[in-house]
Amino acid sequence: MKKIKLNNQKKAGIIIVVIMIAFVLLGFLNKNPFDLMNKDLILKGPSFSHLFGCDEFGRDILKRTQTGMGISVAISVFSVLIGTFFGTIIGALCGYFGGIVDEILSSIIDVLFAVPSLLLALVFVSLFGSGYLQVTLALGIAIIPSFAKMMRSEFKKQRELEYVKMAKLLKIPTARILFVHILPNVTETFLNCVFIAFNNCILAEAGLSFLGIGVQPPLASIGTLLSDGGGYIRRAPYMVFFPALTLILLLFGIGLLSSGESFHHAYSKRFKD
Amino acid sequence: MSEKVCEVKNLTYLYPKSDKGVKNVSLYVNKGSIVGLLGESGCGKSTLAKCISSQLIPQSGEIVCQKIGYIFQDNYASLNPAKRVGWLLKETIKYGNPEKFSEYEKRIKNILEDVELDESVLEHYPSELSGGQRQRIGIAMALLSNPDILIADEPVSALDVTVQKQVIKLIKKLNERKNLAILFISHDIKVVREICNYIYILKDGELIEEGDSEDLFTNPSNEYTKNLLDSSYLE
Repeated sequence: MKKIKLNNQKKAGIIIVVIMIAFVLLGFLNKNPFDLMNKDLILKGPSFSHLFGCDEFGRDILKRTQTGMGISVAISVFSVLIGTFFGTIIGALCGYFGGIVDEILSSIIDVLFAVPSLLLALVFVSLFGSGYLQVTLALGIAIIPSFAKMMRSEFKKQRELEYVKMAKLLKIPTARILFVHILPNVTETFLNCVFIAFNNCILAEAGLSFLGIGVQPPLASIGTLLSDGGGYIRRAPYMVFFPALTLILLLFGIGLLSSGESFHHAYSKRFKD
Repeated sequence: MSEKVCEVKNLTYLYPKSDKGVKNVSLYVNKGSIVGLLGESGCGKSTLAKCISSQLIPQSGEIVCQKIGYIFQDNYASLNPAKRVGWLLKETIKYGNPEKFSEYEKRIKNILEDVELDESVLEHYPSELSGGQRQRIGIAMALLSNPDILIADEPVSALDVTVQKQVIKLIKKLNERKNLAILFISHDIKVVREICNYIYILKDGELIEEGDSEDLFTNPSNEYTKNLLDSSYLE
């Protein structure tokens, strides 16, 4: 087993992300429902029994932040999966085949790329309604163009390399060349795209929910928590502070993961520097 | 008369919007012979090899070749950097010689013996091997598909002189042991003289002279060939 040597940024990123995952998972230990109201606890500040305080309905903000973070992360993970799957296939086909296939698909991607992802998501949500399923689909579709563009340029570079020509000479099926031979060689760009897309999705989901067209009450997400807390920013600033802090920490952790030396280089010397 | 394993007739391939490429080239390679294709850089040697191996589609001409194995010039780029050598060899058998896939372990063991490599290389990534070892893996992969003719496109130009000698010796040995036809492409006159029985000289995409190795080196008829030989460091 090779020893993995990670740089300090990645180590810090992993620590932060693990802490945030643990934070979400610890929410399951608290058996109280996230929408349990208590009129005696309305706008009660942070205390030992309620570390993040309580909101305008007396709901525990810690439990809601844990639940909201979990929902935001789940939406982002599935959105990235959708975007990665279709973006990689489209980008791979464009980059590998070139010619007319590339021209047609790239034109479609360019048109979609010209529209900001958040705007694209807004259009989708306004067409198909709000809710976490719609947001997941909307964000997934919105990140396909950027993924496809990155993968297209990577596959285009790789197809000129002799190991790909060797595979073609052996008459290896194209799908296998694309996803078994070439894809492992573009994981560096692929992983960076995944991390960046994940961060963008978390932010976009928070934005959509903040605007009231994302996750709908009584469900919580980081966006809805920030939106709810916004009205009480002077009386109960902790309602915004704690959800915002968890959001920033998560984004920072993921950002650190995508910075510096790639995981591939860290894992193995198989790629030339 | 020896059996022809590869014959090219009046082949022309010109790159788009350019007059560079190969023009009206005809050549053949007999079973068991090592045929050299010699010329300066950019004269169309690799283009011709790519046409023969179907990497490029010629505009005109005819190519009749039996099963081809290909050794690339860049021994790093020709091996997938993300895969271990064992995987690369197994994949080559799976698609290059599928009827023998059931006995791939034996085939890999034998081929490693042929190219004089230890089985420990199977666990390594290409970047963990030396240039000579990588080129031997390249040769092994070319041989695993059981070719009738091996096209070696500048197989030693990226190697240092000592490793060059070892690889040339290996190619010669494989030619003798397996009676394998080889089209050896190089710009290095010394190397071509060392290894080839018959030589074609290519200039600006056209064949200008051909002949038995010793005849051509001792008594070239074309002015360009004479200049080419004069400019080399042959004794």
